[in-house]
Amino acid sequence: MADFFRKIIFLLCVSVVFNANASVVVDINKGVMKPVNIALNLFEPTNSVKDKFLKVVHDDLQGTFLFRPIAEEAFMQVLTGVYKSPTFPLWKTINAQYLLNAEAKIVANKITVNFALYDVLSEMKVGTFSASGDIREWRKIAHLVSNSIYERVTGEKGYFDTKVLYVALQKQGRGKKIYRLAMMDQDGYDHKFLTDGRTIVLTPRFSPNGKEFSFFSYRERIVNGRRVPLSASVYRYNLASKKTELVAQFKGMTYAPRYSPSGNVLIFSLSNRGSSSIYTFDLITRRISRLTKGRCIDTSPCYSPDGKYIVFNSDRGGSQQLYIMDSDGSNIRRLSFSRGRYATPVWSPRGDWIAFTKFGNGGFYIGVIRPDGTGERMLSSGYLVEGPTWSPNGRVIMFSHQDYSRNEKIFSVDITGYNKHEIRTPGNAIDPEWSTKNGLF
Amino acid sequence: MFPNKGEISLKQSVTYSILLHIAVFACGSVSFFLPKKDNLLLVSVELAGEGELKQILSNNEELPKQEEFPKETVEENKQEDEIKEEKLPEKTEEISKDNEVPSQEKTEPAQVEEEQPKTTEVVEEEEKEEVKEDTHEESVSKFEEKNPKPQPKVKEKKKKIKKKRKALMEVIKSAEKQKKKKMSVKKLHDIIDKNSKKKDDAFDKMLSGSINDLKRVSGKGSQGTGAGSFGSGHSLVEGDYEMISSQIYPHWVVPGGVRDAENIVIEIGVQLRDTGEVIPSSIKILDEKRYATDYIFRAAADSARRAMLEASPLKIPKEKLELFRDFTLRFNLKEALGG
Repeated sequence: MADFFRKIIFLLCVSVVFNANASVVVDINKGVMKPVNIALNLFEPTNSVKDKFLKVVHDDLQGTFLFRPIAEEAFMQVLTGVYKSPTFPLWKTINAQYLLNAEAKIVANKITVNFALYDVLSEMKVGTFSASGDIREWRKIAHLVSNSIYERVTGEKGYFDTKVLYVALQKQGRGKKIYRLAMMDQDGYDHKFLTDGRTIVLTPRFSPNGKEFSFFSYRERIVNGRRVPLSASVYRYNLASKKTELVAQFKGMTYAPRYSPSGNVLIFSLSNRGSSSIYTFDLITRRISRLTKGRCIDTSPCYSPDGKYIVFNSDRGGSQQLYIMDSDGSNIRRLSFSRGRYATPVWSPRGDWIAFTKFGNGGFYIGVIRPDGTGERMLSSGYLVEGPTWSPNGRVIMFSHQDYSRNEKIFSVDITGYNKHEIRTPGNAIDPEWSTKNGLF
Repeated sequence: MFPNKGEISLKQSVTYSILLHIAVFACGSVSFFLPKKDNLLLVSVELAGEGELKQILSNNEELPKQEEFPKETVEENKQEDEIKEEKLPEKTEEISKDNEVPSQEKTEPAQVEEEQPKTTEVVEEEEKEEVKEDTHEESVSKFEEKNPKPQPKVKEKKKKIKKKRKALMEVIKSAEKQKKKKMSVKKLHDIIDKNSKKKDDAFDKMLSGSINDLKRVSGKGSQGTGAGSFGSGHSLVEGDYEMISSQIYPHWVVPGGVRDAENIVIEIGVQLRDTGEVIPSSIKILDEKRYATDYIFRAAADSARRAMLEASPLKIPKEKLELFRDFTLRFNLKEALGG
């Protein structure tokens, strides 16, 4: 009897332990970086936009390196409508992991696209979406479809309906160059010139709301064979009205104006007598304030997304390194400590990384570092790479790339260092600036 | 005369009292070493040894003999003999040669009292303490320091004797336990043989199953961190975790570059069929709340789920399959991205 009760007590103890620990746990601490196979099926009765629409989605997704679209010829099932349920084994056969089943209707110059996304292996519908607009904006709608797929599969916001500003460079005889501001979709389509090239324009920077951008411009004349700037000015350009407004004109040379996160302040560097300091200019009160002092060269300031800090590069420590200070100019501390020279730091929209240009070991690099100074790594290198800019979701970086034959192009690279590729432009291009918002145009 | 009578009576009374004291001491010392009748026979030995006992019974092997203890004591004696140089090991050797559990009848206090080196160590420590006290008290005189008084030596010897007696008692008790453990196991053997009713069998099966499951739970661990033993005879070792993870990770497309990747660990419960195939409906993401609200976590969890489905069926040896019938996979994004 005593044994019986003892066994009962023992079993109770066992059951308690079981409730706390259900099963054996196996850790998976490795994985692979490879694209996800996705089948893109679009049913459009008139077939007027089907192919080009699908091509935009295809290129968007493939350009991320995260997706590998499957050719339509491989499909084993024809789905004629968004409400048709797929036969999953047929899609598994062609190794599809995701299936986009979309249906487009065009009525009175309006296109409406309804689509469903399936996880083929789990045999589940993981999302349904809809987008519509003027038939002339079919590319934008295709980008929105890409955004939806990207967001559902990666969990991060899509960036396919964004714009990129850059400086188009046209080389003429006798070393003369024409600098023109230009804007295009992030995939290089829908290209437009914004200025005529009569003045030199540099460093276009979007405002936080994406409705305008600032840039730096100056005129120059040749004196004894040397180019001498006549005056340096900061302008702002309104994208809706397409009008340019002079913000300020300064005695010294002005560099790299950027907006604060509020959009009410411009921050830039101003050179005077061989040194350069960081200033802010209030766009409302038109008041200028100096943030750094000393006989050093402080340039390329950039606010953190929350506006509390400013990252910049300076030679105050002997070599050109990255520094961070509070937004009022106090509490300056060094961020980078490696050999080489650092320049053009740009804070990620997510706030978790700072991208920069680095020159060292005889080459140029685009790299990232965490705001606490850890995790520094190089993403790309080249004969001359510089001027990084972040995608709105903080996932991709674009930068200027000059090869050995002095061709200047724009490239992009994923934050993981994968998928470096060229962004198509009509001619030479430098100094890209990615829009801060989606879907503004 | 009266004083003479008194002197005589005093002498007599002192003599009587001495004799009585001796008698009482003798009786007391004899009863001190007599076996105690206690109820410690059914101590937890029964449950702890049941599984082993069943295995032994099924193999028709003899009950385990308690041989190890005497061997150890011999070795310990050898070490102690070197230190103490006392002529006591002979009888302990006899005990070990006979391979019998030492009983109170065979062992005498003086013989066994040297068998516990631990108590000897304690005595030595106490001796050291006493020496320290002496030296402290007699620190004034150097001569006395070099030649401590004989009285403490007597005390030390007495204490030694006491400690040795204690050691003897411990040895006797342990010997009793060994013997009674043997007896209780025999009893249990008889009980199991006699009580072959279905209810008891079912109960015992359930109990042994629970023991096995408990051992399995105790084997819970991450890859490369530990191993658990199993009552069925199969053990879960590091290689088993590696066997599973090596089949799954080539299919896990790591969502690199996502925000807060260092804080994403996905735990997924899964069940397998006899063929090692993952039962799709059994896949359960344990942190359902985060899955519903955190889109990056959801995407990472989906990628982990896909990895399991792509890796299915898992190649697991038949004898190990039962261990992974229902288990949890823990996908660590930070580790997968290089820490």
